[in-house]
Amino acid sequence: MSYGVKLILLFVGAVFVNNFVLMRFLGLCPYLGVSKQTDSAVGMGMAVIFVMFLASVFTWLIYRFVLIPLDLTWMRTIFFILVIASLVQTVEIVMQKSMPGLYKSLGIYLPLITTNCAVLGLTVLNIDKSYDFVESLVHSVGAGVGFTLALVLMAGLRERMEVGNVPKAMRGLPIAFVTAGLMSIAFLGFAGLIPG
Amino acid sequence: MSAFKELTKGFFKENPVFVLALGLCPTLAVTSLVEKGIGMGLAATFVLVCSNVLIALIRKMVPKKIRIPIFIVIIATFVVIVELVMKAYLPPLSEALGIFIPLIVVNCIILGRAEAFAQNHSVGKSFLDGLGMGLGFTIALVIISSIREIIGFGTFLGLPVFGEGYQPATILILQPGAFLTIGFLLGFFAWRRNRKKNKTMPDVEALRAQREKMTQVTREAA
Amino acid sequence: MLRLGLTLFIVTAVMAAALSGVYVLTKDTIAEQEAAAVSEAVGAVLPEDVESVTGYPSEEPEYYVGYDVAGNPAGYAAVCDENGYSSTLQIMVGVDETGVITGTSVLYQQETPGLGERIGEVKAEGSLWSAVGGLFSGDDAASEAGPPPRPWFQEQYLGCEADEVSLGSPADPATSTVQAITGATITSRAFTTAVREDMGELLDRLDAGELEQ
Repeated sequence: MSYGVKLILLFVGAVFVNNFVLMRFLGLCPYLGVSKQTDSAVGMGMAVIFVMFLASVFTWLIYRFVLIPLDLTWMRTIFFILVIASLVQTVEIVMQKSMPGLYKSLGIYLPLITTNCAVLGLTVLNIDKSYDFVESLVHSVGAGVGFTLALVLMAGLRERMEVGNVPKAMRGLPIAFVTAGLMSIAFLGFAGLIPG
Repeated sequence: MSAFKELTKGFFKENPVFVLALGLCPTLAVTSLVEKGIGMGLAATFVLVCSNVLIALIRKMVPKKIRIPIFIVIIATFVVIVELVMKAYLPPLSEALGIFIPLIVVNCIILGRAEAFAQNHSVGKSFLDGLGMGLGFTIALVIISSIREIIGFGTFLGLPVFGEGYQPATILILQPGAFLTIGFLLGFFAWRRNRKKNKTMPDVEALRAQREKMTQVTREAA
Repeated sequence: MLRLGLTLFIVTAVMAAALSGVYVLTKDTIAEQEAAAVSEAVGAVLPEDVESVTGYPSEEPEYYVGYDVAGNPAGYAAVCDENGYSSTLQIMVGVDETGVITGTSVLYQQETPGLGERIGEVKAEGSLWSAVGGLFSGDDAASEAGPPPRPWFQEQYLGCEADEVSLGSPADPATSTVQAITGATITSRAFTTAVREDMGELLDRLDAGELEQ
């Protein structure tokens, strides 16, 4: 299998087969918190793709060129969470100063991402699966796109659900979970498409 | 509040999963087997108790402005300790839980308790609060994983519950089963709350609002 | 500002020191556990008369040769892999010197729980109720020591010719066929293919004298 094909499979796998939200259970808080409207879902998704990409770049480089030479790989959890936290902070400041337009649409979602387990999970997965640099980047974009896809689909469903006749006790989170379960069944159909 | 109440409030009344809807990712991911649920619950309890105690201990020395980074460093330290100890003495469990061990760092229950409780309560109270919340989390995981393992595998802790003829409903072990189980459980708890609304149940909306505020504070600080 | 930075630095330094302590304490145990996992799998799959084992972990496939008391090769073990349904299966397979399978052990799999995952399923002894009953009556069923039972799917492979094994019905060691797990044909086929092709290749190369033994 050539390297290019491998990358494509990795991308498709990250979007559909191993969808971060529906198959790996990562990033559920924003998934349920920001999926009430399609617009905010798209904004959140874009912010997540952006941060995931940057986080992959930085954590991969730090892991390869700092932690491995110093034999500190067992401390990766601490390093990664600090990198992600300061990264989000920096991106926010830079964006606010130089790209006010983009900041207006994405800025409010950025701080939410620090404590989003999808980003930390992604960086840890990159290391656990021993992806090389390019694979890590492809994986990060695929994971972000998969997250956005699940988020936007969910938002569409929840907008319709607002007018639906849902039993009182099931309103809000419970019905959102049941809906996510049904979506997850659909995504289960992708399982086995790409091994690994 | 008495010490006993401090401990038991996390079990059901303010259960972090069923009432506050916190820490959902591990709740869904590791509950296909009771064994994994218990392992995850106890690991998180350990981190929660240790970080709560330490944060309460140094609460007067920590400058307000940088408290969140300090909390994160403290929590991450205990998580790495759990990671290492589990790898050394319980390798199969460590493998089964996989990346959800390092992800305890971003479990909102832990940072939430540090922010909402430990930083302005005594060491003793924080210890009880951490223990109670941790056990509440464990109880939630055990309830969910029992349902999933018994129906989805036909076993409990690996021991068959039904006779030979039982055909397990595999869907409950798979990912959708996690979403469906917790969805209906949350619905059940909401239904119970609705029925008891005029009695002594705590005001969930107030608790959720408190949680929102917490997230807000975290956001500002981050 | 300086005070803030200093506080943060001190906290981080103290935490890092505490962590290093734990790391030093657990480092050796972790390394031992990892080494034990492989050597245990090798020991479990090789024939019983093997006295000593030499490993060639850098070869492709990674293989191990077991010697009997007299120092003659008595069996081989190799790490075989094949794409399953949702992951790449890694299996340690052991054969005796004639190529008959003496044991298998799954090193890595992420197959569908409840379906493909059942390649590692062990038929449980007794049930929850008998275990609970045992707790009260005082006789502890779990304390009866013995070798851990083999997974029922992998047990079918015992006695089959490694380079001929295939899926079929009924399962029969004489014709080297094993029966697939219901609902997990792809995983079962991958397991069989991994054994037949990787182990078969190793045996051929050993016969041809290409590999050390």
